[in-house]
Amino acid sequence: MKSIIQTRFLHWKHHFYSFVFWLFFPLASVIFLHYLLIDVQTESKVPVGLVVEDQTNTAFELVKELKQSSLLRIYELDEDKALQQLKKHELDSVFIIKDGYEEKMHRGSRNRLITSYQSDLSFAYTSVSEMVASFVQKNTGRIKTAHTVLQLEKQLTNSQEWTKDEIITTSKEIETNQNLLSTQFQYRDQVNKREKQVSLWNPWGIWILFASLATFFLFDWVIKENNATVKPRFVFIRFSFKKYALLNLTLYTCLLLFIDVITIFVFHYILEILTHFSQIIAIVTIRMILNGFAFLFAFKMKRLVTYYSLSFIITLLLALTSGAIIPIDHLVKNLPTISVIHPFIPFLEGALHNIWLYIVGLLIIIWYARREDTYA
Amino acid sequence: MLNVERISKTYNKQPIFTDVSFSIHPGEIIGLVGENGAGKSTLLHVLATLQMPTTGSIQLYDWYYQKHRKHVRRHIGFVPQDIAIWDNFTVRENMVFFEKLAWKNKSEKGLKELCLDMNLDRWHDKVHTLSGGMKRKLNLAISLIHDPALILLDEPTVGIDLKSKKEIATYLQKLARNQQKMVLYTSHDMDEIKALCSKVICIGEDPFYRNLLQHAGKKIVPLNNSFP
Repeated sequence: MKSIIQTRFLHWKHHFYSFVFWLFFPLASVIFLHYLLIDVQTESKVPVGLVVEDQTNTAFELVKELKQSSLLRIYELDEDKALQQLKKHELDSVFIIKDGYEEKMHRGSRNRLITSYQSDLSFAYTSVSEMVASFVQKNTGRIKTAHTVLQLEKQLTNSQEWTKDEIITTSKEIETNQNLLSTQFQYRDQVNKREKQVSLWNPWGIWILFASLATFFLFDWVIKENNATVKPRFVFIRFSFKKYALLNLTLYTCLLLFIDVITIFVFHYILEILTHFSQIIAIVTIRMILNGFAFLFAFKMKRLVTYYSLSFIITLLLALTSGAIIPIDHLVKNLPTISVIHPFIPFLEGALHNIWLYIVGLLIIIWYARREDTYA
Repeated sequence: MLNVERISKTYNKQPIFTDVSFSIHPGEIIGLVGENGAGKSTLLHVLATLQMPTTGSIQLYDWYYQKHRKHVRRHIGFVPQDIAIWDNFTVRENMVFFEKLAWKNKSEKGLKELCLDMNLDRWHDKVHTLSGGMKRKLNLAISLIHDPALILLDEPTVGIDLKSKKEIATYLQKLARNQQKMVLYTSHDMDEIKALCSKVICIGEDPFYRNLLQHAGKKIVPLNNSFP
């Protein structure tokens, strides 16, 4: 194996940059797309100016809730600056949390809590103002509930064990713990299946697309060396060409598995994706399938241009039919066998078994055992 | 010593050559000539174990081709007609690449000396910048890395300049004489054959080459019954 590594290094030396590019292409592409998506999301948020005159906890809580919204980009400004920016159309709208906001809420007064401004070019003012109103209503509702509980406590027990803040905090906890805002209906005899989370951003789904393309490009050495004039020399050296190729396949698999481990770590620290044991097995499996398939496919090819073109087509077809890029729920419902025969679907589902591992393994054994017509 | 005994080769029931017998002794350079299609390359491929004879037996020292094919291959240096080198590598990288995969190890100094013995001195130059003659020398040098006992050369000097031809010929003569190698050499260049080879094998039914060599006073090795 040492001599295989040494001879492979001689080849890598001559196309070092392209080799390193294809090694890290899947990882770099996913990271690039991740940051691109963040940028696009940030740019597509509605810019809203917020002036906080009331320096109270209730006002700060409203600010926090608005900032947590994935649709708004909140700028905390003073009134003059906010209105100036609104005039320049740098902001879509401006909301001023007036002085005495908390006090008015506790008094049960709901009028003129917030003042809002819009310009002639404000496109999301109505939606944003409704969102702000809903947050305010939620808070006023909590305060009203606290008042009612306190009154009832006074009437029924003639004591005052709970404070208003305690009641508000407890109501928030109950709301979170019991997940009151998410309800699911189902028939009694139906299995309680949790609905699959549909996410448009699936980093491993994007990774598999780029990883398969990169694997095809990394295995072009098979075509170059299988059709090289030096091939007859392998009869007179320690390794037959098949053995030499197979050892190189092992070397490439080890190297790419190492890159995959780096990918797992980078995804964990940058994208905050936790990789479970079953997913690690799925990654190792798909790596061996991709390498084995690219290796055998390249052995059947004579021309590099045809190989590259077919690699693009195969990758695109596999990616499109796997659900990695576009949802294929309808296709899977009508054609359930696709999830069994498709090489990418078990990987995306983190399944431990992938039938293609056995198929590719068997094909490699047949390829190796088959006697070559010449140089036998 | 290489002993070839009554070998025949047929392709799709068509005989390529029949009943060929000859032997090569250490230190001998034997030429193999014949018209195109006479079976020179096929015979060379059979002697290089790339093809098996249909009948007959071949023995290199104590090893029979049929029984010990893999072992025999370790002692054969085959120089193919097509230049079989990595074109994007340097001379050094080509030598190191094949040394790493060869049956016998050689130091980088030894590899360099092997090239210098043939006047191939552009050690760090890329192969695609070399002349045809230099490439041919490298093609030969790679085949000699594992120090083979039998060297089979398939038109090793085709298309190169006279100076390079002479350098290769001188090197082969030195190699056969000093290291007692057995050399079998095919070429269409009769001057080269006459100058280099001690004996010549004529293959095919055309008497042209036999007559030419007999006039030059070369010893012709009888191949089979049709060429007594």
